[in-house]
Amino acid sequence: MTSSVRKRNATPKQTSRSARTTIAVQGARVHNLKNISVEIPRDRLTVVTGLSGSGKSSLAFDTIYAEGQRRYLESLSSFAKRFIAQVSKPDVDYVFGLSPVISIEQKTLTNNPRSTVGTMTDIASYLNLLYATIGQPHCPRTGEPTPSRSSSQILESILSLPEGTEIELRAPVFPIYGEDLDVLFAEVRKKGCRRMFIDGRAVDLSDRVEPEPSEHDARGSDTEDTAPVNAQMEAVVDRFIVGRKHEKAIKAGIAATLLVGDGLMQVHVGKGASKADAQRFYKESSSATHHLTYGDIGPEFFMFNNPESACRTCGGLGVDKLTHPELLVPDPQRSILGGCFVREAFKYNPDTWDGRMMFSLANALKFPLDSAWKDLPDQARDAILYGIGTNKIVIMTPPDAKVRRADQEGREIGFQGIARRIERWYRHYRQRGEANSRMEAWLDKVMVERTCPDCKGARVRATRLLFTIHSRSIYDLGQLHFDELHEFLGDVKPTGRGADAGRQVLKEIRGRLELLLGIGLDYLSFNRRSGTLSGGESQRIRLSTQIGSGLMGMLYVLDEPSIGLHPKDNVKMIATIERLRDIGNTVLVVEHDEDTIRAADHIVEMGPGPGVHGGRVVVQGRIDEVVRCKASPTGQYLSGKRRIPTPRQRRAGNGKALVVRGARENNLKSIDVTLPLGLLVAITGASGSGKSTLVSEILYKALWKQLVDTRTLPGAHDGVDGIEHVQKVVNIDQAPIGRNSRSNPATYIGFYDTIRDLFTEAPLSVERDYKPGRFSFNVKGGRCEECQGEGVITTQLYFMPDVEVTCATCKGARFNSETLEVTLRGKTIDDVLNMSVEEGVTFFAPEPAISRKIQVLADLGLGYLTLGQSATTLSGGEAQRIKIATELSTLQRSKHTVYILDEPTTGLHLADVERLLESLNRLVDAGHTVLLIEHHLDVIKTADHVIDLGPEGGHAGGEVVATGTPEAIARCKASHTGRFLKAHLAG
Amino acid sequence: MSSIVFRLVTIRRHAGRVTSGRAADIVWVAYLLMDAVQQRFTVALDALVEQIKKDRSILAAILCGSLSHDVVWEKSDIDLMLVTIDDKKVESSDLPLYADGLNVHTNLIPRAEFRKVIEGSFDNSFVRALLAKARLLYTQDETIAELCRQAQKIGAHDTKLQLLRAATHALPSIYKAHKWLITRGDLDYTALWILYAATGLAEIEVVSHRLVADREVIPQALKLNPEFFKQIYTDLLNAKKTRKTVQEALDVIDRYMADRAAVLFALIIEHLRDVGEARSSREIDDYFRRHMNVSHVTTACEYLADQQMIGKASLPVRLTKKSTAEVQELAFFYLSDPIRR
Repeated sequence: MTSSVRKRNATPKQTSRSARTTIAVQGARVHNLKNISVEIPRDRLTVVTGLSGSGKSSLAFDTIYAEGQRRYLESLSSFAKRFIAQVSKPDVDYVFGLSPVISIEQKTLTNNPRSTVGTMTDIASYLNLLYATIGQPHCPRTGEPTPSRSSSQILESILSLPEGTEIELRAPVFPIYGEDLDVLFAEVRKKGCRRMFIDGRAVDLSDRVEPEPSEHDARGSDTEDTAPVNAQMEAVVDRFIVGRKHEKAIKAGIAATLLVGDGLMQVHVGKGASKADAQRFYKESSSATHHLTYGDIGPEFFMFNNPESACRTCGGLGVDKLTHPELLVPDPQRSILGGCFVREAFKYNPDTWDGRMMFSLANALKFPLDSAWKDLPDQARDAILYGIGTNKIVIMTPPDAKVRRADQEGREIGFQGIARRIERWYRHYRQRGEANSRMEAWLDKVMVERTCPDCKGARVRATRLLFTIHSRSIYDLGQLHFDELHEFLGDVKPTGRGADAGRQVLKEIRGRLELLLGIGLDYLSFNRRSGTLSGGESQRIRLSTQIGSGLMGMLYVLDEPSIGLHPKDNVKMIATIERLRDIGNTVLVVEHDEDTIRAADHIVEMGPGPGVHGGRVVVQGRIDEVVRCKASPTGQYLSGKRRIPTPRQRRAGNGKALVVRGARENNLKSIDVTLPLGLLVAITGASGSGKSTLVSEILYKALWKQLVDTRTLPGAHDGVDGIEHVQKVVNIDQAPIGRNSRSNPATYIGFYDTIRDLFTEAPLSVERDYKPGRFSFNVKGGRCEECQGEGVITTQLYFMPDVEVTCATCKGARFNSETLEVTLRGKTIDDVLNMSVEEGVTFFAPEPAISRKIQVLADLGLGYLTLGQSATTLSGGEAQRIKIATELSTLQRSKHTVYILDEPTTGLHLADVERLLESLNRLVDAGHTVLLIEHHLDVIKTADHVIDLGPEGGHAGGEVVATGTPEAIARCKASHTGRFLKAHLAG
Repeated sequence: MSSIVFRLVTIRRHAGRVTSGRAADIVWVAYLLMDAVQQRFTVALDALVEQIKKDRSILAAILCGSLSHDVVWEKSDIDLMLVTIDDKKVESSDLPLYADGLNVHTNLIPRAEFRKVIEGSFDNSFVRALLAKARLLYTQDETIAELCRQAQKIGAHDTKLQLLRAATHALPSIYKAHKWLITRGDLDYTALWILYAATGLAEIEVVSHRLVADREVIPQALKLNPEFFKQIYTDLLNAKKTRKTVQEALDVIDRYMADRAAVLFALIIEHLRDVGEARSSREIDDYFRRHMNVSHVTTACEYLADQQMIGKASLPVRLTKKSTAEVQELAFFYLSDPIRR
């Protein structure tokens, strides 16, 4: 939307200089807001509600939040502004009484694999500090307690030895996973160490070091059955003669040794000290057996985002990539000659080296190259993918090769395997930091993530896990669910060195944990990746962080914080928001949830309808005022005058079912779930109980794999029966239908092509020989070249927000004047794109192919949208309904389709939910299956069948608690959903 | 006469600065016996070192360059390495000093860094060579003396590494020489490339004798293998170049390299043997650069393949991120003995 600057005609009204008690918005015109004025009480909880598209977010976020943010950023220096994306001035006359504003929206924050719940909440930093302060270190070789000292303390210990004592500073080193010892030796040498001790034997790295047999197999293996051997190795970093005059040199030596030893070191006492002196020294400052000491351990020692502490194999990601046979061989029916492999992995050609190798391997292992992959013996498949170990094959030239290589024939060579070669290339690119190398895209196609075999998912180097608190490492703590962690930390009583600091840190961590528990996130753990969180979970984490900050006088703007919350957890969430208010903040919440609305101090309802029919304040005030207001749809639902009816009869289905067997991905407890087909089915359960895992990770992917792409890898399960009854699966989410203004409802649903064809048949088009591309704003010819079909010109300014102005050439029409001369029943192409859906139904009545599709949009309550409305301006709920409209407009009764929707009521008012249910029921009435993941009781009660997971979230969930009709669930005492549903059905 | 007396008095005064009493007399006599230029340098150096000894932040003084092991001339400089204490405020630096009319190039290096240079990877062969022939003038820290002794010892692995570097350094010049003779018949330019190769070949010769290569390595090598270096170096400089002599020089170089190839490129052959299968040239290059700081190993691999000491192969590669077509990248593999059937 173009923002325009208007002159202020009237002097803004201001109250007296006494403290303001309200945030007063005057003359708001953002998006569909009709120049409204509204007052939001400060230090109160205000809920903004209304139909989808009525202007709630436009008021709360695009006006109040945007203006608050803009004013704050304006106060920064020009220098600071360079680093911050500037915010445009919203189209509002004035906003009084603003505070510094923080918005907490639903967007999933990041897909950055380095972001975890721990880093998001900052608790990871406190945990690192806790371990650095009170963590008990252990020896990497024996596991015995090992002291941790500062380098100054180590220096003083050394200087306490008799003057003239010879000492050697040594750093223990360990084999590098996946690498030969030669690589380790080269690395040690690069760090400036020429001499080493290997199992007590002195070696000079400038000479060839021939490892003993037990040392030679120290490399880790990609197969998990080879364990690395623990050769005891120390690098000699420096030698000194003890004396105060060498203090600086010894200090530098200690620093160098700790660097080489990655925080560990050993002081070897030589000549000049008696045995008693040496024993005393060792006893006071090092571990009993190997005389090791940790030095200068700080919080960064435990940070997986610190390159020095991150696992060397996965770089701190916790996962590594491994090839998957099913991805490498998408079509096992084909033979090697016939191209069973993904083309980039291997293509048989007798004239290439790869071809010769494959032929030689086939000859050695006696398998045919023209047999289907699935028919090859296991041993052959294994060798082709994973190599032949240390065995060799004889190089032979295939008979169909054009050139014989006599110099190679008859020689022996090893074969590492196609899969292992790809993994090696992957490591090679990772090591060189070539994240976007030419191979990256296709490597993703054939590789899957697995837990890093080196750190086992801990993300940090092994020595970091040797620091424990009550026998638990920092990784172990991160794996605990918040409720378990809170209990664990309650039992930790620091003593000794660092106890005071440790207690302070513990107090801070527990306080933050309590906030997270209070908001219903007890099932999460700190190691959980941020990208796996739902929008609601991310939002609640941010909410708890804000409460933890203890800020006062702020304005918080929240977007549907109840999303993703089971009713039993909603209570906690409301209590948390009230707490935010009670510590002295103004809280403004965009919500549809009835409980949250009832808990509000003040309610503002926008409407009365969506889009152009909305943008006004229907009612504002306390709940009783809203209920009394006859014009308020929210009031009608709250008072019970209007409600979503409970079906009198449940459908019986088509007698067929999908059965998921042995589902055990994430927290699912190897459950069997039966999904009857031909019904509206709701999957319910507490937050974190496993609903999305079951439906999205297992069922949807299993169906997709079978029906569309065999390379899809579903979550862990034994199998899905009944797939033969399904011909299509569609996942309808709230993701945008497009990322820029070139996507709109007409292009997405697909009737824009037909509209263009109509324009092409217009007399003027025929005369000028215009083709359909003439009427596309994506193609040169018909579009306005000044704005390239966008309709606006964006100017980037350095210290100010980008400015969008309507294109002066086409005046926003997006097409050039010649194209706009062509009309269809008096309308230009621009007129058609600016037509609302309601208008479109009438205009295209003579073209049933178009009007039928537009009618579906109108039926779904989207009549206010324009046909050419930019995808970027659509809400999630609107985008989802457009997708449903697409499906409805192409409905085929013959192909049984399973539709999957994850919380489709997000962003929907009850009136919108009613319309959504109508459209979903149309799909079921056409014989298809609709599967919903939902918390909304009004939706659950209309389902034909409910599958309730739980009973709780996280480790306490993952089981099937109850299945059956909503009434059957309501009767189940073990089901939390049932408990709330019972009250809802009765009410 | 007066100038001689003046000089004798000056020398005696310098001797007195260095030491006193009978020792000063001995030093005075020693000075008298030196070559005049050498004398002048030594006297100046001794005086400077006496001043430096008073500086407690300097732990040791090491004399490098010509004055330590070679013959100086009038325009020589004194190269001095001073090992300093380890302190944040004391950094590595170069400082040109002035001592009794002579330029002294001084390199200050903290002790920890000095240790790393001595003990670490043989990356900077120039610095290591400098230290290997250096003379420790004094030290306050006995461990520094030990480190200086270490600098003179070069182990077998480091020797292999040096040989590999020298050989990969020489190969391109040898190829160029062949090319210019065959394609252009340009004897002068061919000879020039042979002379470029001579330094690398001289390094090979010296290192093969487990000696430390000087900056001026060719004269060193001439003493060790006069016949070879006379043919490829002295004669090409002094004698008239004919096609025959140039060709013979190239032939003898080829034989020289071929006879030593198994030793010169042992690290490459061992690496390929250990991996057991074909590796692309990029992977091989990358391995040697990352772990041994040796570049352009592919040239050496091509040489070895020509000598049939390793095999040539190819592996698939895409030229760009957007490429859909596949081409073949040069690769190499270890050539085992042929199986007799």
